[in-house]
Amino acid sequence: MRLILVFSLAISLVAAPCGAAGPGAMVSLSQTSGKVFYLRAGSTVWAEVGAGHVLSPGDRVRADAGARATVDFGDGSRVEVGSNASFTLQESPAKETIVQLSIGRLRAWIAKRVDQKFSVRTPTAVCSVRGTEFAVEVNPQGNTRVEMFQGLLAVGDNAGNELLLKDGQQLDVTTKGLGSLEGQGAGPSGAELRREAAKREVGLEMTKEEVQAAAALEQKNAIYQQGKAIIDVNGHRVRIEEYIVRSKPDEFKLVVLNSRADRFDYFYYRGTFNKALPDDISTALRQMPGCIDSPCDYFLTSFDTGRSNTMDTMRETAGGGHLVDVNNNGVAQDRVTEAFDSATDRFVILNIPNPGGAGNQPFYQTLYNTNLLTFNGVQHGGWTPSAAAVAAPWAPPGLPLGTYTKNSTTHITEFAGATATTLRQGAVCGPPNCTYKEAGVVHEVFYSESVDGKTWDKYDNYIISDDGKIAQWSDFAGITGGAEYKQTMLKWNFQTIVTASEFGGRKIDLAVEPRIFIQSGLIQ
Amino acid sequence: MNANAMKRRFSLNAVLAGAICAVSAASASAVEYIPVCKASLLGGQYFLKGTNANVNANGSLNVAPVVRFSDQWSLIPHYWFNYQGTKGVGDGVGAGTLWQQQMDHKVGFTGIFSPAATDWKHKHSVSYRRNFMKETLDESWGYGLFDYDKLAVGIEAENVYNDPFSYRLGFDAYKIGFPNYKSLESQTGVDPAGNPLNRELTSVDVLDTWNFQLSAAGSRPYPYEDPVVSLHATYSVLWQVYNDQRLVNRLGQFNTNKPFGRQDFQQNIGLAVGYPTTMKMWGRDLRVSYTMGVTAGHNGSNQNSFDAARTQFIHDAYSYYSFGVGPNWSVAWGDKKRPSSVNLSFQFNHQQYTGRLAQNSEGVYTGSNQWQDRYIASLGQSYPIATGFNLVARANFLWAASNQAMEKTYLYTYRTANYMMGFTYEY
Repeated sequence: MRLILVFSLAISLVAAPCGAAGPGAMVSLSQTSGKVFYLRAGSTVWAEVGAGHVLSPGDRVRADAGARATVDFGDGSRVEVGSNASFTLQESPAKETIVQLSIGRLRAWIAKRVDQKFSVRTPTAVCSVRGTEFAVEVNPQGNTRVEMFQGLLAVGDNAGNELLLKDGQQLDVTTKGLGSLEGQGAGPSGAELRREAAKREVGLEMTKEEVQAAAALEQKNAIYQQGKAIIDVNGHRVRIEEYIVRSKPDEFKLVVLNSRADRFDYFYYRGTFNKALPDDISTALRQMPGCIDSPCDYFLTSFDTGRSNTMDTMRETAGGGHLVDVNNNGVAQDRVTEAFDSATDRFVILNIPNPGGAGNQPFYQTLYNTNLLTFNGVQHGGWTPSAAAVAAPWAPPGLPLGTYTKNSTTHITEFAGATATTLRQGAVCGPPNCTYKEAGVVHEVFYSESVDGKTWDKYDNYIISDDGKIAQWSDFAGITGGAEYKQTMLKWNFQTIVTASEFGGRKIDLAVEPRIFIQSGLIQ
Repeated sequence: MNANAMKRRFSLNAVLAGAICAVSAASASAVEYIPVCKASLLGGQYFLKGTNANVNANGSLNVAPVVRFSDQWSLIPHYWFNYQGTKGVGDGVGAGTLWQQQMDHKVGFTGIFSPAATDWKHKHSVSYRRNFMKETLDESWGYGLFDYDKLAVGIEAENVYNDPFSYRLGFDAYKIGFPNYKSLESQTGVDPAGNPLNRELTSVDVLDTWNFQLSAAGSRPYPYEDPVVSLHATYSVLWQVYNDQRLVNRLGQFNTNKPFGRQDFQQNIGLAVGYPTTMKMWGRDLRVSYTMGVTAGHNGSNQNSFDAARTQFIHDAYSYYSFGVGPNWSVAWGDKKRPSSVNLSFQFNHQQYTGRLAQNSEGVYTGSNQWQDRYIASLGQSYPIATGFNLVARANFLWAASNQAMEKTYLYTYRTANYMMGFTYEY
């Protein structure tokens, strides 16, 4: 590939002309040292030459090893031909001076002219300059090195690449194109330009990648925002999905699914209402916890709720549900002093001036005739109607004393209150098989077992933050009422771990919003 | 493949990429072969709401042995590795996780054709990216819930009419899949009474999307002949199809609208003006660049949501408008090839949902639509220590505010920060 080098001065930076040269100006050897030869145009015989010799177009000058010659162009421009260099003054157009450097080194001081161009040609290049000081060297392989001493030079190659050489910069040009600029303030070379172009393409590719990846990040964040992924108390990720299924016209099912890396747990609540549900199911569901002041339009007549780890199941069913004003039914133990008002999403304190009597703020709630609590099918609690009065009369909420049999009579549940220890079957008990509160953090354990100790169940209830930290009691500081406590609890997550004598050491581990449990009556 | 095997494979990939980087650097003189390499190793810390994560490392490696067949044809094979042990302030703060580890591997090829005697470049690209994420104690590489992969193809035409100024028009199609994320509902069986737990028409791969994006970008000097500032504009429109996410109706049930369920249509526009100048200060010649950028966007989605815990239907839950504005100021001094630099930027972003309802701190829906403001300030410094090597330090701060006061599972109003220090290498 023939490489054409074009050195062109940036016109805007050229100073005004100074002096005249061009046609008629005499070109001569102004100084020589060592053996300098010349070859007249058309001749084949070299002759030694000295200072003062006038050159004509076509004449060649050669400096021997260690020799040097200075050529004066008569317009202030001069070229110094170095050792072992071969130089030819070429025929040239009217406003151009052309010299050919076949091999070796020359240094040029070119006067600033707007009407006269000065060119240096090498075997592979043409250098056209005005008003600058530079040096050109050609090696036996034809590679060229350009050194700028003063001025500004735009350099282009036949591939279309251009570079600006400034004071003190050097440039190598090979048959492969422009090399790297060297020296102070060197700008980019052709290779560097290609590298920059490559970097730019890679950069654009990465920018595009960021934009596309943002779509994935947005999808992930949407899952978090919906509370579908939280961290549990053990530092494990819990995926949560909650949804409602309208299984029959008068029946709905609320489902909470939990998934961890190695387990799957779920909670469901299937409730049957007194009549067909409205299109907006929330109208009925918001009345589930009960209704303040006036009877509920929608109330449950039965429910079936359960938790499972897909192997073990805790299940509670109830039937015979009917609506009762529990604050004015004459049964003091049925009274509700605080209630979750779904309409306002808040717990409210009810006005009960006459417990067990009349004149209290009405609160209508479903009471059930039957109730059954089982763990893997083994009954742990509940009640069923009894044909006759039993020896130890007992009544479920809202029902007459002595007409019902409590199936959980074999179970004793003792609550610790606010202390870390409590009585267990009349004796002081301690963790883990006891009902107690862990000191400092909101972790409550509820434990009950049969008198013979053969069946038992245990609930570990935690209130945790979104990143799985157990709430401190100090987070509930200043809260004295149960309603206020429950209200604050709504802002946290609720994790409950259930195990029982029938589970063989396995657990049902659910992390949910407490609202689900409050709404379903599992938290009173 | 188990996690350890994957880890070994990725380590091997990183070593190979490093070797390519070194070999590339050694043979940099070839004209048809232009190695581009960029690497960084940084250590830092992430802070959120007054608590801090442990010091961790971030590292990245970008290798592109560009092959220049001729003046017209080039091929850019591209490998990108990224490890992030310290969260960025812009990362989601869902679940409040201070700790997060991410790893990315991306392989891509871009072919570039530059017709002779024109300013045009035609680019065709294909790439595959795999993202791994660990956020919890029970997640391991390859088994993160939010791991995703992305397969992308794209074409682009660029006219470099006045280098470096150009205008571009491109089209990309890409599929994002979350291999470890399946809806839980699709994996349920029956309850103890024998009734199915899931709803009808349950979807499985609810996060997977097909994405089709048209983008345009341009830059020009102004005034054209004697530039004082540079102007930049971008526009993109993205059609996002959730192939397996059915629409949720007013009753909280799924609609039977296969083959298309959720579709999002997102548009973004960005404008920026840059003003480069020089100044002398403390005896140094400083190269200063001021940039002011403005962005606006809109996402239109047909998806709704249903809050089962509160039995609240939320229409148009994913549509939003966004707006951003911010200046950037950078100063460089010293050798242009090895400059020292300081960069300072500030960005304000506002996002306004058109249907998603805000909740108070107790979870009660307020009736107002959700919005969030984010203020991000960044400060960075780079100092050359050897050819290609820079010592860098960065600090980022983010303030977020929102009318969504319910923050049980996701933070909306918070402050976060991080800092990173280390080395970068570029060849």
